Amino acid sequence: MAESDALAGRAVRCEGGTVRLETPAARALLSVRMNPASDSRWIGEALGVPWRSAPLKLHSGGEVRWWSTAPGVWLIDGPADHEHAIQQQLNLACSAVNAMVTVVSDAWGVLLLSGPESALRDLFERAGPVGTEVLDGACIATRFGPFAAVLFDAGIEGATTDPTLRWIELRVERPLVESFRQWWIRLGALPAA
Amino acid sequence: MMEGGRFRLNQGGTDIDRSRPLQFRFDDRVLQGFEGDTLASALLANGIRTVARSFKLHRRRGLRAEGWDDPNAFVQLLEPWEEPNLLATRAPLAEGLVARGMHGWPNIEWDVGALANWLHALLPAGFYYKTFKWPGRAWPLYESLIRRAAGLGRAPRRAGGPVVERRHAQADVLVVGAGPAGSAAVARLLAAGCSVIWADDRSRPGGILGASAESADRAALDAIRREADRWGAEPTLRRLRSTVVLGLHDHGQALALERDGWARECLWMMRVKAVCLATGAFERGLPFENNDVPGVMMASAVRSALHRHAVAPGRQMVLATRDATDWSLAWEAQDAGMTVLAIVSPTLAAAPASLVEAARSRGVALIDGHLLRARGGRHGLSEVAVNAGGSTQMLPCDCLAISGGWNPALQLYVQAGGVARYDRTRDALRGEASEQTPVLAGAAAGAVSTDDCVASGRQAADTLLQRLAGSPSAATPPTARPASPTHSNRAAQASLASDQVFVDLAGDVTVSDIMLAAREGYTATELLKRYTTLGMGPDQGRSAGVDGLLRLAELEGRDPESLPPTRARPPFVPVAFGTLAGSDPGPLIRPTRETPVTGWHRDHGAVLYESGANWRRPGYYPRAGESMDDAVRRECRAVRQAVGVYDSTPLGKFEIGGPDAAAFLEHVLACRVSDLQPGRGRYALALRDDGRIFDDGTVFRLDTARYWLSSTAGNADAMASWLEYTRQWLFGGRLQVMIEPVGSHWADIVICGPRARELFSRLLEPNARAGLSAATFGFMRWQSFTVAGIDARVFRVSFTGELSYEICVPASRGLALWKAVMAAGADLGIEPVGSEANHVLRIEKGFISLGHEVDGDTNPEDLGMGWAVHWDKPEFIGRRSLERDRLMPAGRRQLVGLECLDEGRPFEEGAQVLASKARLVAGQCRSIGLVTASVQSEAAGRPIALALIEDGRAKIGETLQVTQSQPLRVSGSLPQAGAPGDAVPPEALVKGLVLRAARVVAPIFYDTQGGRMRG
Repeated sequence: MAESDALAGRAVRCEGGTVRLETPAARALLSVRMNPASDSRWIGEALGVPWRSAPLKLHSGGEVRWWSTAPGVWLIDGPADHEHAIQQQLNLACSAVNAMVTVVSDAWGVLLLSGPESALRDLFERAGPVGTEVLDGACIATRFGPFAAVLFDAGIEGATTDPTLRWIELRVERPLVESFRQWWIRLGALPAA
Repeated sequence: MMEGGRFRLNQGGTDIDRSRPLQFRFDDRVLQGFEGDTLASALLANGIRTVARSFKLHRRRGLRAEGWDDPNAFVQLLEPWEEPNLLATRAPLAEGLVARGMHGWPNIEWDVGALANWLHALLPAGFYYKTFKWPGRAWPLYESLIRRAAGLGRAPRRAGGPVVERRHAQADVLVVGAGPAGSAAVARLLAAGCSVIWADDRSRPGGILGASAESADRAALDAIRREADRWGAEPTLRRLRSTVVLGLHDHGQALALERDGWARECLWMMRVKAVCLATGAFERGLPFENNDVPGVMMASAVRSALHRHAVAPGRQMVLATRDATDWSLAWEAQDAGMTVLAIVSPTLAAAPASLVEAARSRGVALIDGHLLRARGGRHGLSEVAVNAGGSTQMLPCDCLAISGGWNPALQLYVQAGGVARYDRTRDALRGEASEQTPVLAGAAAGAVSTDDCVASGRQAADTLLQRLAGSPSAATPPTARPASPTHSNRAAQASLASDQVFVDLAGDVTVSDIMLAAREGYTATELLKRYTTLGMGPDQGRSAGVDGLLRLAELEGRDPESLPPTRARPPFVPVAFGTLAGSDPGPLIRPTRETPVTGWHRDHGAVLYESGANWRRPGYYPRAGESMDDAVRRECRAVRQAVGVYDSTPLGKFEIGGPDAAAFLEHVLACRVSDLQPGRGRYALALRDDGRIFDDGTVFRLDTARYWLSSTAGNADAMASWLEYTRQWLFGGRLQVMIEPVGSHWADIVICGPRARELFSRLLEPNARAGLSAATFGFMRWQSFTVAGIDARVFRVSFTGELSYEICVPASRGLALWKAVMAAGADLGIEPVGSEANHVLRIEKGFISLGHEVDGDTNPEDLGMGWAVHWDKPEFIGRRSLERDRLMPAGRRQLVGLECLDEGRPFEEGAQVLASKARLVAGQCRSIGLVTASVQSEAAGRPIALALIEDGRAKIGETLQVTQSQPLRVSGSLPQAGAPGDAVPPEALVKGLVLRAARVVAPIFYDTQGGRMRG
C-alpha cells in the first residue's frame, strides 16, 4: 500500500505507542468546483458510486474517495492510473451543472501517520488546537504550526495485521511537504509527557 | 552545619525529602538543601538573608512572600541554563543548580550600586523625566547610561534551556487552583459530566492548606488529596500539576505553563467554554519605615517555611497582624523552636479572650499598637520599633512576620475582562460578577474559612453549569468577611518618614513617591502607575496594587471604591521567550517552498535565494573559481547567444472557468479578455481600486470556457485572495465563475534564447516538430505538446526578450523534464540561468518587476504601459482612479532608462535621482526620483539602469545626478561649482553627497522592436 521513502521506519515516540511517518503511493486527485447551492449528486452519478455529501467527512465508494472542506469544492481521489478516466467521466457531466473539474494530483504533498489511537491522539494534541477530531471520523482543514493542511482517517483496511492501528492521511501544499515532514519528525522527537 | 542548612528544623517539612540532599550554589557559595525545597526555602534554610538588590535604589532585599507575590526573590539562574527573573519561591531546588542575586555589582553583598540608596532623596519618582532634559546634546550619553542601568537581569548569553513542548487541549471548564474551593468545584463539575481541565501551580492539591498545622485543615487537605487521587481515572478530567495559568484571552483561550522540574516545560494552549478561578489570595504587608529590610516576611511565608520545608526563618520573631486570625503562627513558631517576643496588633482589644490567654500562657507579649520602623544591616533585620500607646518600644528580632490582610488574586480575572473594585467591607478588591467573565471561587471571591471556600467552589460550579446549559446564572456575591474596623495603622502614617515606607518593593516605590505623583497631578491610578512604576516590572502589582490605590485615595481624600485599580495584563508571571517559541525554532517557523528541481539546483552548486513567498530559487550557478558577476555574465551570454533554461515554477497559476469567466476576468484585469480565442494569450495587469498596479502576468484562453492566469510568485497568495474577494464580495457570487489555484500542481520550466526553438523541437515527437514556426505557434500562444514524453502545456511568453517556451508539466514530472532539457541542450551550449541573470535580461528589455518598478504607487501610464490598458471595455477595477490620474499627468514619476556617463560600476538600486546640475546650483536640490533597478549589461557592454523620475519621459536626453553610497543630506544653498551647463565631472562631491552623472534614455536597451522574442 504505502511506498516508504527515506524516512520510512523512522518512528516518533508518543504517549501510548509509536507513530510512523510515511509517504504513500501517489494517487489521482481532481477538484470539482461548483456553486455551493448546487446539488452535487451528479458527481456520484458520473463516477458510478453511491454519493454522500456530508462535508468535513471522508466518503468512499469503489476505488474513489471524496471529501469537502469548503462550500462548493469537492476533492475526488482515486488510483493514479484512473486519473484520466475520472477526469473524463466528470467532464462529461460537469458542463450541464456549471461545474469546473481540474486535475490537481500534483498540487498536494501527502504524508501518512500510523499508530495506535492513543499515540496519535497524543501527537495531535502537540500538533495543533484542531487535529484529534480526525480520530473521531472528521475530515479537517486546519493549520499545524505554519502549515495549512487537510487530514482525515484514511481508513486503510488490510494495510496491517494489527487492527488497533489507525492511518491518518495529511495533505499539504506540495512545495512545503518536505518542511512539513520535518515538522512532524521534530514534533514527534519530543519526549513523551 | 545542620544537614539541609543551619536554619533547618530537625523534623517536619511536608514537601521535602530528607533522604535526598542536594547541593547548589548561590552567589558563589556552596549550599545544601533537600529534594522538595524551593530555591527560596533552601536559601532561607542556609541563613541567606539578602537574595537580591532592589532595581532602583539597590537596597538589600530578602524573601518576602511564599508564592508568585514575592516582589524581591527574582534571581539570575546560571545553571542548568541561563534565565533571568526566575522567582526563587517557585523554582524547585535541583542538584548543581547555580544562581545569583540580581542587581548587584560585583555582587549583592558588596554592591557599588548601593550608592543610589544614599542618594535616594535625589531620585524620586520620575526624576529622570526631569533630569535628563539638558543640555540636549548630552542625551546620547544619558541614553547609554540609562540603557546600561535599565533592564531586569541579564539575557542568556548561551543557548540552552528546558525541552519545551506545546500542547493543545479543549474542555468544557478550566478550573484554576486546587485549594478547597477549586477542588470542590471540580468535584461538582465532574459529577455533572463536564470535561474539566484542572490547573494548579503546585505539584500536589490543597492550596494554602498545605502550609497549615491545624488539625482541621490537615483533615481537609487529606480529603482533597484522596479525592484528587481518585479522580485520576476520570476520563473527562485533565489534571495539570505545577502549572501556572499565564493568561486568559478572548474566545475561551487560556495559556498555561507546566513545569516538570527542570527537565521539561509544556506550554498549554487551551480552549474552554468557561473558567472557574479559585486562585486564592495574596497576603498584604504593613506600612512602616524600612518595611523592606530582609527578615520582614509575610506571615504566610513564615508558616510555609515552617511546615512545608521545615525551615525557621529566624531565631527571634515578632508577629504583627491587623487582627487575631494569624496569631496561631506565633504558637507554631514557638513549637518549632523560635523565640516569639511579641504580637503587635492595633486591634488587640477585639481579640478573643482564648487567644489572649494562650499568648500569656506561652509567654508571648501582646502589644496594642503598630509598627514604626525596622532596622537592619548586612545580616538583615536586627530590631523593630513599635508604637505602643504613644511610647516607642524596641524589640530585637531577626524575623518580623507581618499580615495586613489578603488581596484576592484577581489578575487572571481582570485579564479575562472582569472588573475589579475596592470593597470597603473587605478592605480588599472584589471581582464584579458578570455573565461573560470567569466565575470566582474561594479566597479569590472573598471567602476566608475552609468551609466557606468549599461552599464557594460548589456555588461557582453550579453557576458554570447553568451557563453551560445556556440559562442565565444569578451572580451571587461571594462570601465576605468584614474587615477589621481599624485594619491598619495608616492613621499613624503622617509621622512616618514616607520616603522609607515602601509600597511597591519591586519598583522601589515609596509613599513619598505616591505623594509626589499626587502633587504633580497624576491622580488617576493608571497615570500613577506610569509615573511611579507602581505595579510594573516582573511583579506586575501582585504585591502592591491595592496598597498603592489606598495610599492615593488617602492623599486625595477620595473614596477608594471610586478608584479603579490598574489593569493586569498577561502574562501573569514572567515567561521566557524560549518557552513561547516552543518547539518550532529555526527554519520551521517559516518553512521554505521548494520546486521539484530545487534539489538539482542545489546539487549543481546554485546559490539559492528567497524569491517571494519563501520560495527557494537559484540566484546563479557559479562554476569553480567563478565570481558571481562572471557567472551572471556567462548565463546572460547563453540566453542572448544560444539557449538558457530556468525554473519558473514559483509563478502563481490559476484556472478560471465557468460561463462568466471572461466577464469576471474583464473586471479583474485591465486588458481585454473576451476577444481572446482559444490558444491565444495576452500580457495582463491587475490594478487595485486606486488604479495602481497590483500584479502582472499573462492570461491565456485554454478552451471555450476556461482561462489560465499567471501571477508573480510572491503575489500568488494575494492574487488568490483578490480573485476570491472579487468573485464573492464585489460580485456577491452572482457570476458563474470558478477559480482553481493550480500553482502547486505545475512545474514550470522555461527555455529561452535564439536556439530555444531548436532545443524545443528536439524534445518533441518528430511529428510535432513541424508546427513550431512563428506563424503556427507564435508569440503569446499556447498549445498542448508531449515534451520529453510528458504531457505539457507550452506557452510562448518571454521574460528575457528572447524566443522562449514556458513548459508546464505536472510537478511530479518537473525534474524529469528539467533533466531532459539539459541533456537535449548540451551541445547547444545550454546554461541553467538564475534570477540574477534574469534580472539583467529583463532590465535590458525594460520589463517591469514587482518590488522594483511596481512599488505600490505606479500605474500603467507611469511605466509606459498604457498599451496594456484597454479603455474600450466598460469597466475594470481601477478604471476610474486611472482616469483621474490621466487628467493630472504632470509630475508623476515615469519609467525611464539611465545610462552611466562615467566608467564606474552600476548605480546603486534605490539611489536618489536629483535634478540637473544647473538646478542644483540654483538651490533646487531635491529628489525627483529613484533608481529602481541597475545592472552591468552584458548586451550593452556598460552599466544600465531603470528609474522612476518625475515627468521622466520629458527628460529623455537630459543629464541628471544620481546619489552614490551617501545619505541624502543636502540643505541650504550649494557651493558655487561653476556656471550652469558646465560639463559634469564623473563624480562630484556636493556637501558630502557623492553624485554621479546619468543620461536619461528610453527604458529599453536591447532589441527595441521585440523581434527576437516574437521570432
